[in-house]
Amino acid sequence: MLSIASMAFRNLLRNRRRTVITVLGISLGLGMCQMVYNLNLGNYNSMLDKGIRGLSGHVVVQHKEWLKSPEVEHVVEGSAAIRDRLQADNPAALVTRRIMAGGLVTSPTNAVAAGVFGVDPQPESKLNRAATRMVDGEWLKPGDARGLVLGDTLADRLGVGVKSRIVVMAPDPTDPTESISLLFRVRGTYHSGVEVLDNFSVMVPISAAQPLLQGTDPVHQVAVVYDDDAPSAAGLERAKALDLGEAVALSWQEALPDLQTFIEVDTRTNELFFFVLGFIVVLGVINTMLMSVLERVREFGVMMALGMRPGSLAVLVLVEGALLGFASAVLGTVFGTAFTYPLVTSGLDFSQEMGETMMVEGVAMDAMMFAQYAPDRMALYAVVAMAMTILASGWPAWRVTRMQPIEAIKHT
Amino acid sequence: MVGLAWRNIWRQTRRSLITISAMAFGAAVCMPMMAFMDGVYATMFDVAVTQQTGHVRVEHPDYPKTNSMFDTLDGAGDALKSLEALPGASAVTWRAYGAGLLGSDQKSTGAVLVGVDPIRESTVANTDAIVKQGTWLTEPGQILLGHRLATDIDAELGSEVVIMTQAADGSIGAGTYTVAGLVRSGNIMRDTQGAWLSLTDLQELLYLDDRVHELVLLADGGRDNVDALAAAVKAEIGDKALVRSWVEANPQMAEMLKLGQQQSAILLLIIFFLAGFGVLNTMLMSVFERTKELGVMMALGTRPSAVVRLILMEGFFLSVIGAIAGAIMGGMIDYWLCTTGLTLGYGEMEFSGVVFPDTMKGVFHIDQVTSVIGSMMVISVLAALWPAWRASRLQPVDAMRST
Repeated sequence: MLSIASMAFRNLLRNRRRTVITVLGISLGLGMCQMVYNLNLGNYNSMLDKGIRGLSGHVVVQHKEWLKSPEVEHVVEGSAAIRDRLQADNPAALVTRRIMAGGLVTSPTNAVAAGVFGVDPQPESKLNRAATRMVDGEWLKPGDARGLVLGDTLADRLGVGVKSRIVVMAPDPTDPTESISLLFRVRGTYHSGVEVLDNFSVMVPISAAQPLLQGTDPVHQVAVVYDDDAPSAAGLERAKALDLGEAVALSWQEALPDLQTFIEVDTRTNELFFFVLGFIVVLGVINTMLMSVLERVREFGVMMALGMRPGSLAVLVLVEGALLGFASAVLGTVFGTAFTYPLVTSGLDFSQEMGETMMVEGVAMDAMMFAQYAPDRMALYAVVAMAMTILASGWPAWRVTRMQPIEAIKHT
Repeated sequence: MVGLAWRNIWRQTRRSLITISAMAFGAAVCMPMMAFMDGVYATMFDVAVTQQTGHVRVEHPDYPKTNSMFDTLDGAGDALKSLEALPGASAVTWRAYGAGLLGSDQKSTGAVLVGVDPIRESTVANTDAIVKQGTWLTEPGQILLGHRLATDIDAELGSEVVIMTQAADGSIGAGTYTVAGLVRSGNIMRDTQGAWLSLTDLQELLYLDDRVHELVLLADGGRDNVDALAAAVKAEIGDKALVRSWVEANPQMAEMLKLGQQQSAILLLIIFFLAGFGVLNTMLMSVFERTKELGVMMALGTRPSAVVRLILMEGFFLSVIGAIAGAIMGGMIDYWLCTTGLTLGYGEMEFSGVVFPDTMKGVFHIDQVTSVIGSMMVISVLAALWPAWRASRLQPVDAMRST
C-alpha cells in the first residue's frame, strides 16, 4: 500500500505542469467558496445580532397574534410586573419594554405621519441604535414623561430643534373615531443612518406612549437581551412558565422568522453557486485524470503483464486523485484564509451603493461588511473538494480495470 | 489551416467534449443567473424610479430636504403644458403629497397621502400592475390604500375611510373617501403607509388650491435618453425649480444597479476563470502530445506564427462549440425563468425597502448572451496563448526526436 502511495506521488510529479494547473484550478475554486461563505457568515451574524438587540431580544414576550399581525391593539398587559419577573430571573440581562405605534407628528409648520416608539430609556440606551447616535441634545431620561427624541431629518422637516414643542395626534384607543393629542418637548435629535428611523420616527418614554394603547399597563413587547447567546434556553423556559394571559414567550428564533428565511434563501442561492463552481472544477479533474491514464495505457499494460492486479491499478489512480485532492484542499484553504483576511480586518465598503444602511427584513445592515472565519465550514468545503476529486478519478480508474494487457502493450 | 484546427480538436473527442461541456455548463448557468439578477434589479428600478422619481423629476428646490407641504412648484400648470410639448418626453404627470390620520370605522393610523392625476399617472407609473384588488382611480372621492395599510385599519373594497390632517391654511382638513382598490407597489413604506387619491381631492383637502409638489417625466426611448431629457427640461424650466434625473434624485439606486453589473461581471469572471483552467490544461496536453508532429510541420516549413495561429484557432473552436451549446441550454433555462419564474416557497421577502414576490421572474436581455459568450471566447483564446507560445518555441530537430 505504501508503495502504491509513493508510486502515485511520483506519477503526479511526472507531469508537474499539469498537476500544478489542476491543483490551482481546484484550490482557487475552493478558496473562493470559503471566502464567500466567510463573508456571508459575518453578514448573517451581524444581521442576527442587530435583529436580536433591536427587534426582538433573546427571549421576547409579546401578544400571540403580534407575529402574524403587528397591530396596535395586540398588547401585553401588566408589563411592569412581567418586566420585574424577567429581570429577577435574569439579573445580568437587559430587560426592556417597547411600544410601536403610529401617529401624525405635527409642528407649527408641518405634519408627518410617523412611527411613535415607546421605550424604556435605561435599557434602551444600550440597545437602541438611536440612543448611541445622538447628534444634538440627549437621549431620553427615565421619568421624563414629556421627553421626545426624533430623527435629524424629521426634525428638519418639522422645523424643530431641542426644546421645541411637538404634538402627536393619534387615534383614541378606546374610540377609534376620535383622536387624542399628546404634547411633547424635543430633548434631542439622532442620526441613526436608518432612513425610516431618521425620517419617520419619534421615540418617547414608555409611559408617555401607553395612552396610545388599550388595556392596563400595556406594551407591545418585553424583551430580554443577554450579553451572549448562551443562557437563553433556560431563560426561555422560565419565561414560558410565567402566566402571561394573551401573551406568549418566544425565543429569538421564533420571533424573527423573516430574518431566518432571508438567511436560508441567501444560503441556498450561494450553495447553488458553489455547486456550479464545483461541477466545472470536477469536469476539469476528470479531464486531467483521464488524460494521464490514457497517456500511460502502455505502462499500465506492462504492469498488468508483470502481475499487477487491475484492482491495484484502479487504486493507484484513485490514490493519485486523492493526493491531488489533498494538496488542493490544503492549498485551497490557504487561499480561502488569505482571501478572507482583508474582509475580516478592513471589511468591504458598500456605502456608495447602499448609503449608510440598508434595510433587510426590518434589520438595518451597515454599509461596512465584515467577514468572519468559519473554520468548520472551511474544513467541510475542503473535505468536499477532496471527495469530489477522488470521485472524479472514479471513471478513469474504472477504465483502467477494463484494460486488456496485450492490447494495452500494443497501444502507442 | 481552419480545417486542420477543426480536425485536431476531434482527434481526442472525449477530451474535447469534456472541456466543451465545462464551458457550455458555465454559460448555461451564467445566463439564467444574470437574467435572474436583472429581474431583481428591474423590480427595484420599478419601485424606485417608475413609481416614484420618474426618469426626470421637477420640484421646489427645498422640497427634497424639507418635504414640507408649503414647498410647492410655482406655475406648475404652465410648466406641465410646456413639458408635455417636449419631444424627448413620452409622458408627464404631477403629484402632491401630504400626511394625515386615516381611519376606517374600526381603526386609524398615520398615512402618506399621494395626490395623483389619475389619467396622467397611468401613463408614467404602471398603475395597472400595482393595483392588487379593485381598480385604479376613476372618479373623485375614491381612494386607493396600500394593502398592508388596508389590513391594519380593517378597510376593504367599498368601505369608507376618513382622513384628518392639518391643511395649508392651518385649519384641520377632513374628508371621506371610498376605497376603490388596494395597492401592492412593492415599496414597503408605501404599502404600509400609502394612500392614493386624485390630485384635485388632495388639493381640496389640504387647501393647496392648484399647487403641486412635483412634476415627473418619462423619457422617450427609455433609460438611455434620460440625460438628454433632463437637459431639455432644465433648459425649459430654468432656475425656477430643481430638475433632477433619477440618477441625481436617487443616486443609491444608480449605484445599486452598477453594483449589480459588477456582481454579474465577477460571477462571469470566476466561472470562466475556472473553465479557462480546463482549456489551458487541455491545450497544453494536446500540444505536448503533438510535439513530434509539430516538429515535422515546422521542419516542412510551417512558420512558428502559423503554429501559434493553429493552436489559438483550436482554442477558439472549442469555445465556439461550448458557446453554442451553452447558449442553447441557457436559453431554455432562461425561457422557463422569464415565463414561469422561480418560486422560492418562502413568501414575500423584503430587501432594501422593496418587497419581492415569492415567484421571481428573470428579465432577458441580449446583453446577457453576448457578454457570456464574449467573455467565454476571450478567456479560452487567452488560455490557449501559453500552449500556443510554447508550441512556437519548439526547435524542429529536438521536437522530432522527442517521443
